[in-house]
Amino acid sequence: MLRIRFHGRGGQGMKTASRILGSAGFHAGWIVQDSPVYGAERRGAPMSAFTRLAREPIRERGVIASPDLVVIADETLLADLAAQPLLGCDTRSTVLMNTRKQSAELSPLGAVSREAIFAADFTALALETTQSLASLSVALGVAAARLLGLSLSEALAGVTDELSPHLSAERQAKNVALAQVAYARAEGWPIIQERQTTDSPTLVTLVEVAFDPPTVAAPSIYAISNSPERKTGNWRQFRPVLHAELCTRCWICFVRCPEAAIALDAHDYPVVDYDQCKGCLLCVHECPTHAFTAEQEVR
Amino acid sequence: MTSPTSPELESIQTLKQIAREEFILPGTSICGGCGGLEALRLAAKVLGPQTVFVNAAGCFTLLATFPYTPFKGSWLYTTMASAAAGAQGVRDALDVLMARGKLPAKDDVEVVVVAGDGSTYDIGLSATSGAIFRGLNFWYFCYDNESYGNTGMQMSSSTPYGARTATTPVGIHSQAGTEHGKKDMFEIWRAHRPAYVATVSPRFPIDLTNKFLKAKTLRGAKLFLAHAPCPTGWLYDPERTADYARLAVETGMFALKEAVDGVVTHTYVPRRHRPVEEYLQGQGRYRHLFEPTRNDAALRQIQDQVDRYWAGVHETTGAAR
Repeated sequence: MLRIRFHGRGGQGMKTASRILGSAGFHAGWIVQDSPVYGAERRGAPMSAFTRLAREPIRERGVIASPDLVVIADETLLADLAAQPLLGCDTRSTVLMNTRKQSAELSPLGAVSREAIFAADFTALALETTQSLASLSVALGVAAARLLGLSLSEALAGVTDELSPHLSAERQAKNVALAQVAYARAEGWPIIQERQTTDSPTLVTLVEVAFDPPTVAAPSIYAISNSPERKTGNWRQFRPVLHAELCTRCWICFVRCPEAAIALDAHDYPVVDYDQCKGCLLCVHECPTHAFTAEQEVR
Repeated sequence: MTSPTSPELESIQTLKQIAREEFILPGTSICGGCGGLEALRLAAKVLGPQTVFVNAAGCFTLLATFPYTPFKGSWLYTTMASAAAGAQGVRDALDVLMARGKLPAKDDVEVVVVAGDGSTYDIGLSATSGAIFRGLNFWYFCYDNESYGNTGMQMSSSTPYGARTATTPVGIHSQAGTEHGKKDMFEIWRAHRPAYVATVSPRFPIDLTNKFLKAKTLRGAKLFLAHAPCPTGWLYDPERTADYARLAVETGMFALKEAVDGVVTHTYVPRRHRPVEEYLQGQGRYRHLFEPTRNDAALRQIQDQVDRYWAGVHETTGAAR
């Protein structure tokens, strides 16, 4: 069995990527399974998705603890405790990473050796080809398919299956074009082989959860405004950057920011709290003098 | 209680009169670009720190996820059906404590229900009706993103005609997506004769602030419907939240109004309404009305409904069209 785990942020399309890979595998004659897992939060927050490809009926369920391939849509997830994309990786695991860095620039990731890390700037590919960040799903789903030895036609069949029927014909075509570019980008990378093991899932004892009275079981928070400790700044893919010389101190960005991540300094210039800004870019869009620009995050 | 926005003002005229201080801090799990949060944040600047938000289950459940809270005041979490009942309990408890001399009047807090449209229009309507009927002195803030957003955009009775949701997909038998019309919650609330009912938009912060300032002088049920553009569910880029909030008002699809003791006033009437298409186009939930073929019948129906509404408004106010 091949076990693939996708890590992304809500909105980056990793659920769809896992489905594209699953469908492509199905077209190649594998028995497949895919499922996503979310927390209570969505757009911007870490999520993961799982795809299994096997020659025999798949009896495993749930999260993939020991992945053969980990696909990381967003480099910032590496440092995110809520994501931990390298969890369970061993020396035989492969990592496919969306990053602006070259593979050679990357340091080893946990137990994964540098030779087993494949990196490319799929964000740039997506933006060039479809002008949509959501197309990362297509790019990474197809690149993963290539890493698992699926053919281009199988990968494209997966993409066609999973693209939303609500996409316009033009967007569909652009996504197919992106799939071809992403597949080509992954060509030359070695193909991941199925592990020759007879591991059967280990049985674990069920943990029984005892009943607690509501006074114990219902969480109470006694702190005041401690949410900034969570630092949602790592949700961001683009950061708003102020060009103060263009700013007229009109307050619009400050008033519009849903997050309260923009404060005004003593002279009424906006100050973005990059620890918290989720990168919605409302300020960039709303600024009447275009004093804000959006710059892609590199971390 | 003094207002953080303008302790001495009854109303504001410019953006720069909006409070600098924040009362809902960042770090919550709410989606980036949330129109509902933008509206609540502005409202909280008037309400100030001495508040208890009684939060019905919904997207805003994610405001306070253990062990974090963005609030300077308090927050109580309830089921979707019982936020207004929760508000009654909190208000009564505060009143009893004050009557017994155990809580000084200066420590009293405003009780504010925060609920989405699923709770407001559907599941919690009964409890709210009861609370208004009993003359409960409380605030009600509905962030209306026109669907059950937190569970994946299923239709609510606030979903407008023509919007596609997870439970009203587009198909041979339903080319418009949602076939029902949006429930008129403003009128349902107004029929209860509460102290104050208003609609607010995050894109009209001065209007929003003034409505909260006005309600502050009133006792009884103070009810707000906040238009809450939702990038996640309405399928548009988060940076465009303010655009869609503005277009909803400028096309006349979302009317900014208030009712004091049942008397309705429209607080902003555009001189000429833009065509509704300018609001609909670009939102993924309406894409099927434009692609692959234009659904002229559905678009006309939406435009006609808006035109009828405003014709009625102009008739009653005698205003020139």
